[in-house]
Amino acid sequence: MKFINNLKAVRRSKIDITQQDLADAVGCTRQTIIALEQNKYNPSLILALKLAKHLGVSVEEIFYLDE
Amino acid sequence: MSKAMRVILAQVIIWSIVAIMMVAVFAQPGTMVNWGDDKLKTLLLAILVFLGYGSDLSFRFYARSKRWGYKQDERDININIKAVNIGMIALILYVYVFSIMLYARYETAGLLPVGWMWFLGYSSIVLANISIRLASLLLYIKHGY
Repeated sequence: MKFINNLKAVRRSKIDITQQDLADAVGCTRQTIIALEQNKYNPSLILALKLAKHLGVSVEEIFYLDE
Repeated sequence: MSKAMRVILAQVIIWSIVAIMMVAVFAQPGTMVNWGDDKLKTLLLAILVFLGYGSDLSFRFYARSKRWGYKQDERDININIKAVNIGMIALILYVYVFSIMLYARYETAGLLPVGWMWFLGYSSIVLANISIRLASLLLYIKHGY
């Protein structure tokens, strides 16, 4: 099973904010948002929930397991 | 390059300079054998380690100042934790291999110059600091910086 995220697509389609604005909103660095969008980092549960809340979607819409 | 990487790179440079100077002190002829007779070298090494940690600390304060705007998040903390694990394994291996080498070298002599123990102690401090920061750099490169 592979951990997949649609953060980049959701960020652009839902509220179209910059990586820096999203990072500031959820309390992380822009590098972390970049790493997440490039699938190089798995976020903590709290960061995933913050991202989902800020983007107005469920966590499963951003992050899921590819079986 | 992110601010986190720049901080770590600066720390690697600082500790590398300390390492070079430390090796230069120990490389002086007769240092290992006559260690106890030379208090100046002991003092010099203490100053070097103090300079390493002192510059490290002052750089951290500067990096965290509002002027520079450096902040850490969960990814940085995760990378730091992994880097400390890698650095500690490197340190354990270094102490083990170095000790074995000393044993093999001085097994027949029966006595070991005390300078080697000082070298092992100081080099362990320097190696730990460098290996942790190098591991951080590699992890940042691997996981996106």
